[in-house]
Amino acid sequence: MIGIISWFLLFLSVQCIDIVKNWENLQYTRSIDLSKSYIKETVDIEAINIDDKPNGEYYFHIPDGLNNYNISLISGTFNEQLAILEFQEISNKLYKFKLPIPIASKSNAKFKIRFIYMDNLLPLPKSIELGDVQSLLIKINQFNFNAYNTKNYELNFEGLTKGQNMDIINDNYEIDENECNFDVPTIEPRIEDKSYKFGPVEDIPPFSIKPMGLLYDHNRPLAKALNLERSIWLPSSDINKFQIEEYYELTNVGANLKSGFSRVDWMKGKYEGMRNHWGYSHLELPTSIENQFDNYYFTDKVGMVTTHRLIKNFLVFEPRFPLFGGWFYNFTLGWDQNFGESLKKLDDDTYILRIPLINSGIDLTYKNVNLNFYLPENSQFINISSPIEFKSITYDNEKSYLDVSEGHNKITVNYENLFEDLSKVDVLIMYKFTKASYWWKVLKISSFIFTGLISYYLLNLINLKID
Amino acid sequence: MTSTTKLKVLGINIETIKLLLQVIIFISIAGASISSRLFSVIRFESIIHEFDPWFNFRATKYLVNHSFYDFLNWFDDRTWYPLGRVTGGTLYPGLMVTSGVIWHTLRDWFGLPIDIRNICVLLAPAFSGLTAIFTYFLTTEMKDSNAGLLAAIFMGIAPGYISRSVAGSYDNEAIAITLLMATFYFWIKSMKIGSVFYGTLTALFYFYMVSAWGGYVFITNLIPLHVFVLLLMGRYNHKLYTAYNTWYAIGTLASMQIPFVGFLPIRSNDHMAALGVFGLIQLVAFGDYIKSRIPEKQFKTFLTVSMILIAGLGIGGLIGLTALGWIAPWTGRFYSLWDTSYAKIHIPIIASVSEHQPTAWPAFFFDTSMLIWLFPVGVYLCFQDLKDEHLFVIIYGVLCSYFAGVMVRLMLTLTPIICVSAAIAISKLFDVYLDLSEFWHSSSSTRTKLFTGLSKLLVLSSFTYYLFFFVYHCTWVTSNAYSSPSVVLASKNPDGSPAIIDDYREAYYWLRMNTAEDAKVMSWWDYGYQIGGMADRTTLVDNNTWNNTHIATVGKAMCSSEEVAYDILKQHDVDYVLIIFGGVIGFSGDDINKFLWMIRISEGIWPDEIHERDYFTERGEYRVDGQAPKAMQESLMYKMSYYRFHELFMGRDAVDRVRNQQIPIQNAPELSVLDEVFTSTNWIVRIYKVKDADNLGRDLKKASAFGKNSKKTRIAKKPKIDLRE
Amino acid sequence: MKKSTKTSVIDDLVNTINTTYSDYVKSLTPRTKLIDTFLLYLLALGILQFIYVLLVGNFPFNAFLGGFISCVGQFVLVVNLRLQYNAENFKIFNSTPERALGDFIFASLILHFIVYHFIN
Repeated sequence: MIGIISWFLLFLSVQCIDIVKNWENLQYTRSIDLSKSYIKETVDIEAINIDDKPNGEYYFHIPDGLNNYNISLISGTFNEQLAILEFQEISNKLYKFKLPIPIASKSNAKFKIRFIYMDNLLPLPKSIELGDVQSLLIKINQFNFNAYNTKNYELNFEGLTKGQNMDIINDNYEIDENECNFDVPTIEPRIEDKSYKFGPVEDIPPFSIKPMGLLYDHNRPLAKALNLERSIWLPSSDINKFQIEEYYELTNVGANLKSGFSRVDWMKGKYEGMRNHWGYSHLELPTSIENQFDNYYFTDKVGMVTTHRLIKNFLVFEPRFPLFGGWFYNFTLGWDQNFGESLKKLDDDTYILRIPLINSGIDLTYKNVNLNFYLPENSQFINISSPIEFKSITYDNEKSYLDVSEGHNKITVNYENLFEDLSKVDVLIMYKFTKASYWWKVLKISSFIFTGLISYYLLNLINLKID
Repeated sequence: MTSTTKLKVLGINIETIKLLLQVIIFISIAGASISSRLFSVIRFESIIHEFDPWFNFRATKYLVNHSFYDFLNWFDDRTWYPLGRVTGGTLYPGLMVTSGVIWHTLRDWFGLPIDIRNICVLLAPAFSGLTAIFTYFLTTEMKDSNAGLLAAIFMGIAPGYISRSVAGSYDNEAIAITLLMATFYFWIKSMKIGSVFYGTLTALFYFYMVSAWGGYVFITNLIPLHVFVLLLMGRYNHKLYTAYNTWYAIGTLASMQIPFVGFLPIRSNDHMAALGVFGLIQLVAFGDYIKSRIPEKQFKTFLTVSMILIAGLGIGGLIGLTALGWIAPWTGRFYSLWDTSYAKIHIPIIASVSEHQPTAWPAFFFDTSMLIWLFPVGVYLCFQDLKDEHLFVIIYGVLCSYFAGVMVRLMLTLTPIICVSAAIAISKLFDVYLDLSEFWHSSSSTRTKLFTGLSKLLVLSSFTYYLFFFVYHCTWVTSNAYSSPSVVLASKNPDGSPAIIDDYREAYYWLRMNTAEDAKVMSWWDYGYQIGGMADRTTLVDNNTWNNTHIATVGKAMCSSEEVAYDILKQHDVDYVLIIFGGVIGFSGDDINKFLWMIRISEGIWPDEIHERDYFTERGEYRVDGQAPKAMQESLMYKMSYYRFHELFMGRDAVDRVRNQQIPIQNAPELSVLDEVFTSTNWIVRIYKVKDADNLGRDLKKASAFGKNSKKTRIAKKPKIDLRE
Repeated sequence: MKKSTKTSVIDDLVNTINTTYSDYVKSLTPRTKLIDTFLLYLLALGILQFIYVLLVGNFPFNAFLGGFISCVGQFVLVVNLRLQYNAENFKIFNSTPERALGDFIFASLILHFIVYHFIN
């Protein structure tokens, strides 16, 4: 069957990097967590240096070879968290990392590599009734698409309650067929410790590929923010508060409704209060010590939305209507936040602000995120530091209330494919705002008002009366 | 004027104190009139109210996003599908231009980029403050500034005016009343002093008024009437000539600049009175000139001859031109002013609007409280004085009392004059009773002093109480009756805490987010503007009820059987049908209650197919329960409203909470040409999608019956392995 | 009898016109003369335009209306001016010729601005 597909393979330009086969994987275990709307994969590798000389580099390919998802984040540790690995992307989904110390010949090394990917889950069947259970199909490579030989290989799926294995045809390889090895053994799945396991199998050649599908029940929504505009407005005066406004464009990429939305069925099923239903009716935003959502509000393009409440540790928001597959909803959430520890003064005029990259809802993924910083008018942007790579950064000005010069300095940092856990990482921005530029603004506004009053007075002096 | 002794209190000139007091009073009046209109913003949010304001809001957004010329040439293909509407040429642009100008000024000059929605919401309260000030000036011209201040505060808080100018009711009337008062003030002013300058200002404000509201015709007729009466009373003078001619020449020309008005001022009968008086005043002026030159007797003959000539020519010309079709006959709305049952018989669409109904008499008390009984007193006082300007109050008062009795909506134009004349009455009363000078230097005995003092105290205290009660009443009415946005409904949770019913926006937003951008939505015309404004989808009919046939078509689709309706829906490319249904929570303004109007309007166009009688029971009752007639039960509206309604009642008979009728379970309707796609939380809005024609060419009724009978077949692959917990 | 009343009516009329006219001529000052000539000119212009429309048709109706109404409007404005210039009317209007002229210019400017806008 695979042979048929390989006819359709495409040559992609970014290939053919000669990787010296100087490692051999003694153990290669993939664990895939399917409990969320995105996929967390952990790969444990124990490798041996088969070269004659010490070796400090390892090439790691995302073990898939199928090109239908977006990688969000990759990270890894070396020898049980002795050191953090730094990844360098060579080509699409092929990474190189340097080990902290070169490994001597015939010595072992252990890596743990984690990565997150999304947009790889397909509801099947595409349309279901309100009361049905949503099942998702994940298409994945059953083996490890790795540059080196593998002695022992295992694949585990976790976080699912019910699943079935399916053969699928894949016609979307990203790798030149000549590099792939399609000659792989057949392995049967088994169930162990609530996880769905393949293997162990022995002696897997490099770049082994066998597309497989796993259909599993997942009765929770696949909520996704197609766009998020996160705007941080920094005040120009010394108040200990700043404003954050976030504009979300939400959708649910899960199953569609088979027929129209029936309120009777929705009411009868009491799905509204149910945590495990695939209709997306609640957005839960965790609060933190720094962010208590002071004076928060929700609006959309037709006005305020009143279905929200702040309960213990969460701000819960119900969109105007529940979202089913292919439905959209957008809204704006704004609140005040105290600076607390997050703003530091380096010297008299230089400030550093630390702010979470996103303020994520539970189990939410993001396609496109713009993080906008509105620095006070007449301030100078110095630098920004982001723990994960951003796609682009742009500088702009935006006039807001009583901006009489160029307006607020706007720094937009663009990210793609984020997920909920990234709310734990912080972005740092450094800027300079002198007292002088603050007073300059005040002076300018007051002089405008003064000019206005004076000209009114002068106009009054001119006597227009003809008598 | 020439008093040489300057009174001083605490070393400050008394005039200065007076000025200071006046400014403070003005600020408080403006504050009171603005803040009493903000109930809805505080209680709900800054939101556009009701129906028409949504269109104005949408047009304003169009204006600020495009150029002014684009706006004037705006052809809106999202309404009146498939006809479209030449919006730029069929609206009064004054309101939108006003808020557009404010928006631009604040943004470009003051560095205040305020959201256009907030400007629109707060425009009416802001203008109400100006109205109070103009009322002050007008009343000052009538009596004095004491009366002016009273009139200003009355105007500021009178519910009759507040009803159309709370925050969010972004309608033409919001600024039109201000302009009405301004125009009248300048008219009185220019008439009194015969100034070309003030006459021009009158004309300019008249132009602004024309650009803002169709009710400008009221001014167009009232001023000529005033002049006419003055002429009849022989009170012609050159000042009147100057004022009227300046206003008429400039005002008429200016009013023709508004595309929607166009050539009406010289074509339509509504405007002919002004033209006639214009001609008349020329003749009178000429006659007056001649009169001053020649003896009485000769003049009499001259007068008779010329009168006969002119009357013959004028009447003949008017009839002739109307017959030739050069001058448009009076419009339907105008006829319905004279004959209240005219609309009911001839134009059901006008009668179907609740604000066109005749006024119930308690409404007068409700809207103006004590002012209504002070109003005749004020008019009487005007009669006593009877200067030229007092005549204006009398004419205005008499005319508007009649109009307000005919149409609820015209309460609005009556309110200002009620405020003015009530203020005249009260200030006259206070003039007399607050005059305490006799206590100081009169020689009367202590006994009479005591009695007069006592009676004065009694009168003053009772009127203070009345004034207090008036304020209380106004606040109460505003807060309870006029501050609901009607887009959002207030209700109570079972535990008594306030809750908000937000079904309209829920459903409109669903339409906006989850339907194709060019989807056509059919609904009754009431919701057309809201769908356009909030859901941003194409509608078939909306609140600009210019095309009766089109509305009747929608009505016919709603009240016909599914087969008939389906053809209509398909012909008009309808994708979605939206209805309002209040049966679940007891919301009485729903479509079933408006259904009779749909039937009547479509019967007007298709008398052979639709019969109002068919929708009533044998005994002439309007029922939706088991006794509902067949036509009713088969109508699309009935079916859409009660589709799957019974399932809420677990197999028992459904209860419609608006009409308090039980609908037996065997009456549960089936729908075969429509699919339910959305129903809002409280069922107020239900949206149906029109099914595509069946693939096999069966009619949809058969097709859906087939679908129901065939068992649901689930294709299940046997899984290779199952994992279960 | 009948004849005599008729003739007396005609006599009266003729008489009226005559006395008025002579009175009028007597009261003329150079300034009012100028104004009256202008009035006459406006009147002629208006009539001319009207005749033109009757003969040729009113195709650019805006243009005709603009022209015609500007004549009429200007006419009445000038009459206003003239009324205020008349020494015997000073008391009624409580104003001065200078003020009247200022008002007149203001109103005319607005009138012609609108006319200009109307004609496109």
